[in-house]
Amino acid sequence: MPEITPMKTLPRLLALFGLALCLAAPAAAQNLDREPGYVDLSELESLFRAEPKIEVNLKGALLRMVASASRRDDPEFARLLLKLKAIHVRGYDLSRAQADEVERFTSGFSRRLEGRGWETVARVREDGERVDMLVHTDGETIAGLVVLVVSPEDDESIFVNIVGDIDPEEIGRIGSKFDIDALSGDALPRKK
Amino acid sequence: MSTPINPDEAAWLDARLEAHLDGALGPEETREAARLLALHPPAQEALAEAAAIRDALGRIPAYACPDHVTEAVFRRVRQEEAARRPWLLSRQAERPGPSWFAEWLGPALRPVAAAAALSALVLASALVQPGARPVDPQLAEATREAQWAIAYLSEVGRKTGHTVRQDVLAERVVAPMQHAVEAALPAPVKD
Repeated sequence: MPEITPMKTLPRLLALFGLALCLAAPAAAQNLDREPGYVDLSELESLFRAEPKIEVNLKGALLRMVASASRRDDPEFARLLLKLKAIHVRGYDLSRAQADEVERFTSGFSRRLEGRGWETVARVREDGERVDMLVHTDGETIAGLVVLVVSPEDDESIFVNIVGDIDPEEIGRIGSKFDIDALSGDALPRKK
Repeated sequence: MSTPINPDEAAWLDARLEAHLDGALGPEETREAARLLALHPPAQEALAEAAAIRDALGRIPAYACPDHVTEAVFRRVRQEEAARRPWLLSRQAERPGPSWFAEWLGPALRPVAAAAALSALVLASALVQPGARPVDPQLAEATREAQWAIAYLSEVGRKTGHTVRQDVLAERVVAPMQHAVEAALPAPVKD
């Protein structure tokens, strides 16, 4: 009687998935640390002494898979993603007691970035909210964008870094199509 | 131990275990697979193992495959194909593959590697086809995260656009964002 043979099936499965991972991955390995537009947001954890409530880490093969999967429904969005190398977001709860400390950190963080060649293109303080927007240019192109938002009114602080060939006009136009409130509901990428 | 399902049923189930795990079977086949699974403990074990492997694979980060490995796999596949069907792939078969790879692969694994590479090609091509959709939950979640991040940046750009200082970079960054958002929004309705 023929037996079901998992020992034959499983290596095949492993080989399939392993090679699929390899082939779906980029030919050239991405070393984000070396990208001029990359900023390490990990030091935020020590500042807030907590894990982020929002955490997005999209890069490499996963980012390209998202772009490929979006190609049919939203080709414009897919094209935008294909030019990006990474999207990192950290969002933290912000207590009133922490607000001053976080603001000081944000000022220092911005200054450190400026010291590394970043330029502050917007610094807004309005209704208690502070927004810093910095870019890193590479010739005529923008290679990195950092947005630091400290909003005690909303009890949150959000930090964003995107890396790649960035076209702000494209981001503004494409981003406006999405319903951020709907995406921020159940679908908000909050860390489990 | 004897099983209450016959060999044909066991073979039928074996061929569909992975599809059953992926939820890719039709309603009738799903019912039949579930019925046979309930009667056949070895298949239950195989299914559990496959599920565990799938879950474990889902947690593996996607490392870049070195070019030389990818090329070696394809070269080996072409050689195997050429050996089986010289009339189809005679030109490719002329290119020798590296001996270390052949030794590492071993004769027993070559058919598996060939099948794996071809299946991976199918998977990869499915990813880049215009009709591909984010059916995988992780991919759907990643898509949502990307949309949220871009929407958030757009929102911040729109807000800061009102007060940003007007230097060259501001014009290049914030103003284009603001203009694009305003152009995309419907004109305000006047009472």
